[in-house]
Amino acid sequence: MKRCLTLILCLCLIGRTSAQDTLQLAPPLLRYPSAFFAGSTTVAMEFAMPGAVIRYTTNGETPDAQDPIYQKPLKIRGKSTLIKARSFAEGYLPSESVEVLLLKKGIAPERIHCTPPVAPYTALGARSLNDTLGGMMDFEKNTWLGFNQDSVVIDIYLKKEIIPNMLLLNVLQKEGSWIFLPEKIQLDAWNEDLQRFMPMAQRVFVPGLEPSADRCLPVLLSNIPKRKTRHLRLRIYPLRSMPQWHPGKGRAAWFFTDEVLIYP
Amino acid sequence: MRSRRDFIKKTALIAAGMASAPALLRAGAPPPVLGHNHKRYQLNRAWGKQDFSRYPVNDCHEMVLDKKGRIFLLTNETRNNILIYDRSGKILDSWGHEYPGAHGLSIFEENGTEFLFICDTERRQVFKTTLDGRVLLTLDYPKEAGIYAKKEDFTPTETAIAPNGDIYIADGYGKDYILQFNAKGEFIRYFGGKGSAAQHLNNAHGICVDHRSPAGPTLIVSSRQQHCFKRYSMEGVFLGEIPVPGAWVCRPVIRGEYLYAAVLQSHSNAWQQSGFVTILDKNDRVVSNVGGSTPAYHEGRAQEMYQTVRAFQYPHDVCVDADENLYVCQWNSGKVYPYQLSPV
Repeated sequence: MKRCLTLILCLCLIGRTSAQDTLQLAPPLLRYPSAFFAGSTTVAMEFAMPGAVIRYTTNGETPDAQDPIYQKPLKIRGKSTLIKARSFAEGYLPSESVEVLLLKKGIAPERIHCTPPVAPYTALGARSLNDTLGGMMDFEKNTWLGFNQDSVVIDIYLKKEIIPNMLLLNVLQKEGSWIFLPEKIQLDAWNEDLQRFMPMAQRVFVPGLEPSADRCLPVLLSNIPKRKTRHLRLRIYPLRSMPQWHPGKGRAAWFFTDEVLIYP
Repeated sequence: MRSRRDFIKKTALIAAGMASAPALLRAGAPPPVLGHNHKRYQLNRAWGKQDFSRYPVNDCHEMVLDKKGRIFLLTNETRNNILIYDRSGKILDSWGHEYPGAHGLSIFEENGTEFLFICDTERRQVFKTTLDGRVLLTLDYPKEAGIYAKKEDFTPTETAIAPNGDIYIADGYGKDYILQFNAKGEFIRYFGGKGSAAQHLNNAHGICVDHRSPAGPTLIVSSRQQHCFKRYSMEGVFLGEIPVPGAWVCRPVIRGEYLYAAVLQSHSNAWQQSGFVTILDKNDRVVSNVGGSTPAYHEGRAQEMYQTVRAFQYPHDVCVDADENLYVCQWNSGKVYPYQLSPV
């Protein structure tokens, strides 16, 4: 730690003697209709600065100077894909990397019911949870369902009995706007033989000691027991008490979600 | 419930300041040129830097230039709400301890003498002062307008002064009305306000008088959440919209034939220190984005604008001197002093 501080101090001193500090580029804009897609989707990138280029990857690596230069909108087909992009220009530090995870639609449920979301964050109600629309950071766009209740229940009725392999719940983390990850997400499945719900998977979240960057987080519920079911139930417990560093400390946070994806 | 929803929007501001700016440094790089067309500049970030223990600043909200070429900076640091710079970046004087919500600063010449108008968003008042800080007039919300139930509904962010001395106050963090008073402080009328019609405003953050047209002066108001300016007659009749898509424009500043505005941030990268400065010509077309994307029009429509170079974090105002140098001060940007940009 001490060595690290010394190094930073040295860098500062070098910087101070230089004529001008080098500026960093801002990241490119990624444009896509939705973070979710059925058959295929398209991602366009934009960075209107003479002499600058956008480099991107689809393998999860941070783009560097050897990665391909963006020329035309990328067509994404068939499988969920993580795209990362950065701006580069001579004389500037490359931008931070921006990314989007494009998620393939899972199986279509027969219907979804959920705890009523709180106005004005109601979108089209439970229907919005499986419409392949959304995944955008702007929570005032009408794709997000917002909740400030003690618990939220989402019931997913399937067209036929399946053995679910994985489930994704896309949630929003925007702590400056009082939107936190929930304390817990519990996935249960109805067992027809036993006539009761069986626990399948659970995710627990603890708020950070300092603010987290805003993001859309597809919460993965996997490693679930191989059980046949026609009815999945998600029980979500929003954060009851925001952390000490937050202006709303001690008060309940909001929970926002916009899509549930079920993969057999 | 309502207040909590409001808070969702307002507290977005708070998280914003927490991410730290990249500060990598490299020796010997030439200063970059920012901007487009004939409005291109070299950035000097060291111009206004001071000994913080002597001249502290908090948010540096606005700047004006007086007849002598001195630059008045308004900050919500009550150890010195006003810092007076000369052109070289030296502090000539400072004053002011009573403006915790110092936000808007305008200058107006009346019979050969210049006066300042300060908007305080915490005291919810507007003050007319001499250049050395003596208060001559205090304006509160106009009860007689019938649009305010209480003082807390009124949060003035900016003033503009008409040639006849009329004072226009933008209630930019309150109910988004533009309130017109005469020079004595008597209420005349209101217009704008929140709503969905063309003449309504959303975050009427700044206002100025536009003297460029031979047909006479008009008012230009920023509607920051709508990413546009709106033009009104001096009597408050809505005349049209000037779109600046994607740009959270602070107040319009007119110098010569051009309109300059600090863009607090890019909508596409909100609360990520994504500000820049935009410049429009007399035909209301964007000609340069200093630290931002190349201005583009498609079938006559302005295309979305955004930051391309992290030259600024959250710029809040721009001031232009007689030699076309720009001075940019910033909100919530690590208490930085104003930067200077010199034309190339």
